[in-house]
Amino acid sequence: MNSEHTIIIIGFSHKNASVEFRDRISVNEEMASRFIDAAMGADLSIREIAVLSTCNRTEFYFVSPVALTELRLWLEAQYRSLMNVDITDPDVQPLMLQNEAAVEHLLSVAGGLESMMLGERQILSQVKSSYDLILSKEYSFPILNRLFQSAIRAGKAIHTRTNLCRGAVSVSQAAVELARKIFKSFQNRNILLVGAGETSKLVAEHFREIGSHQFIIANRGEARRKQLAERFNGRARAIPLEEIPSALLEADIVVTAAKAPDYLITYDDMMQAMKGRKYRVLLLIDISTPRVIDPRVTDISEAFLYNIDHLKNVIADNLEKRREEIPAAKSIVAEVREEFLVWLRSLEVVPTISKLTEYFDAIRVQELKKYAHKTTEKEYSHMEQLSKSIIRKLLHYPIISLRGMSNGHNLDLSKIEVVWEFFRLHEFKGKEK
Amino acid sequence: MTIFLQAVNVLLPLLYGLSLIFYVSHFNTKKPRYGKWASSILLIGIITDVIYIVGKGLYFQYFPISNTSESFSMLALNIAVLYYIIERTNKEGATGLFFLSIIFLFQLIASMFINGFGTSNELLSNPMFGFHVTLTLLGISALAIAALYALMYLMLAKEIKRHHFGVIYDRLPALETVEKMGMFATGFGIIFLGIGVFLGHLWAYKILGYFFTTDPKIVITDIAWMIYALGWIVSWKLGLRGLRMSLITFWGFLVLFISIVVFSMFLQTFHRFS
Repeated sequence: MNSEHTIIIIGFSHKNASVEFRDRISVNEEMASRFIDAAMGADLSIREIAVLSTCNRTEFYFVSPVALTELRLWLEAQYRSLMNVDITDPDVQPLMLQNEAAVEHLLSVAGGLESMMLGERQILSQVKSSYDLILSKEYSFPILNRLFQSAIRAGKAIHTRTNLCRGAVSVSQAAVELARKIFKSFQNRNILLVGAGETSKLVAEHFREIGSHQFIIANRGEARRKQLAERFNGRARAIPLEEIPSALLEADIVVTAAKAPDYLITYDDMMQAMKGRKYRVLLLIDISTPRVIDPRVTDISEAFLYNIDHLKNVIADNLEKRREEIPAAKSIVAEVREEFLVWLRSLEVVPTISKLTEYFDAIRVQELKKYAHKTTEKEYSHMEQLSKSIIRKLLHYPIISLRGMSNGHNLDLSKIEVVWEFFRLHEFKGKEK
Repeated sequence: MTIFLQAVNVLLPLLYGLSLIFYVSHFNTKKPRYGKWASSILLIGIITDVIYIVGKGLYFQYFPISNTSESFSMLALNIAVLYYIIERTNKEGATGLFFLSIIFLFQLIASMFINGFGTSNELLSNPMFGFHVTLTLLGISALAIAALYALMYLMLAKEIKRHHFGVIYDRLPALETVEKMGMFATGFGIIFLGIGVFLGHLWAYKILGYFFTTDPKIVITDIAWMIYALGWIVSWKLGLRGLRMSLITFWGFLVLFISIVVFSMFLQTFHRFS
């Protein structure tokens, strides 16, 4: 491959760096923009650059003829000058990939295959943000532009054509997924949250994402329950624990994440509530340890009671199902990668053919010139024709092979690089334009 | 015309069969595009079926339920129309597989055992009788659909209750959706069957001279419909939903079905369907 078009990635993620290290090197959009400006203004031949930074990964994508090690040094220097951060750590070896491997990596990242939580969906929007950033800059990044487009396409295809991103993989998501199996719409559903800690907040956020507005927050401490209720713009009601039995009459979903020595919802409370609710279905999710809902509640037909172990089983099942989707997702990555590489090869092969033809023609002209004064005009013309014919025949099969490479699916891009090295095409200046 | 009807008679099970294949694919893969295809082909099937039945009726001047084959064909169309309306109203195609299986089977039987067109039965030439039969069949079909939804509700609720996440849990829509679809079908069923029964009385008045008869089949049908309708409406008004309502819907239909169909088979009275 023409080294001008070498795609390089230097990256850090949960696979090669600790969370402390990842936090330190994480860059926001503004900082990513500064990295891009720095690369474009650098003495190094960095043709294109993109930055992908999420909570679990920070990756730099380059198109450059510069060696990997030099780019790494440049990156270290930039971190020092732009963020005053030292990223040289003997325990951390960055992921460094080139060409096909780098392309495949980005496509896999976009599809959630490289995420800490397999099949994570959010990464695709983060890849889109990185793409938007390079589009917003005044520089022209044709290769990365195309590569990120391909990555977004691969990500979308994985989301729609496989089940890699389906099914809850966290306790709060699993709670929401269960609720979705019972209720169609959440707009007018009352959600009773028992406990006002971090877990309750997270659960509430997930329910809010799917359209819930009506929350009842029951907590022992008044300050905390009011604090959580305030997050819902006046749509949430804060109540003390003693009012749980009456709240059960109006709740559709109950999520408990609290610490208590006794059950906060007893079998008798539930029996009483069920009569009052005319046996309307009630989903109860007890993610407290120890449990705060009496397990006998499950004997009531209309009460669907789940505890933390049940949710963990849901998560384990979903993860297993996601793992089964890896081959399908990988085949989409391979498909999109090949499409991108065919495009990239065409970008490489056309200039290679033209450079090679130009190089052979230059030698031909140069050699002919030696005989310009030793032959008649007619003889010179014959020699010119003969030389052209020989060059044409000599280049016939190499050109056919090169064109075949751009259409084929099994080209090692380094083969094109061999052609450039073989004839020293990098050194050949060609015709003056 | 006969050639056209024969061709459509072959085409109908093919269309319903194709729709069934897409509903099965939709059920298995949850891919929306299969659902869209299934629904579109079902609509084409329904339109073709309506043209076929109306065309046949108009051309031969009779109401086309003169034999078992035609009755199956009419039942297939009724279920197809009702299911299509329920699906479109609730924007949920995951249950189509169950209904299209029945529709396809009924239409296949109808198409395979067809025995010519037309009838000598004068009764079937009267439009009021046609409406009576159509609405009664529509009503029973709707209540059967409601019973099937109630059964799905009970099965899904059982899986959720037992923390068992099998195919039913994975593929069926939310309990609330299944319940809503069932309610919709029950509403249709009570209204259509009610009007159908009423038209039957009108018909009796026209030919016998009195509105109410002592024919046990008619009496049983009237009482069964009234108990079902009243029971369901009272339960609804009392605020019963979910599990208990599904049990009422399911068992209510079984009692109604046994009352109407089984008694009709064993009691030899003036009221015959074919």
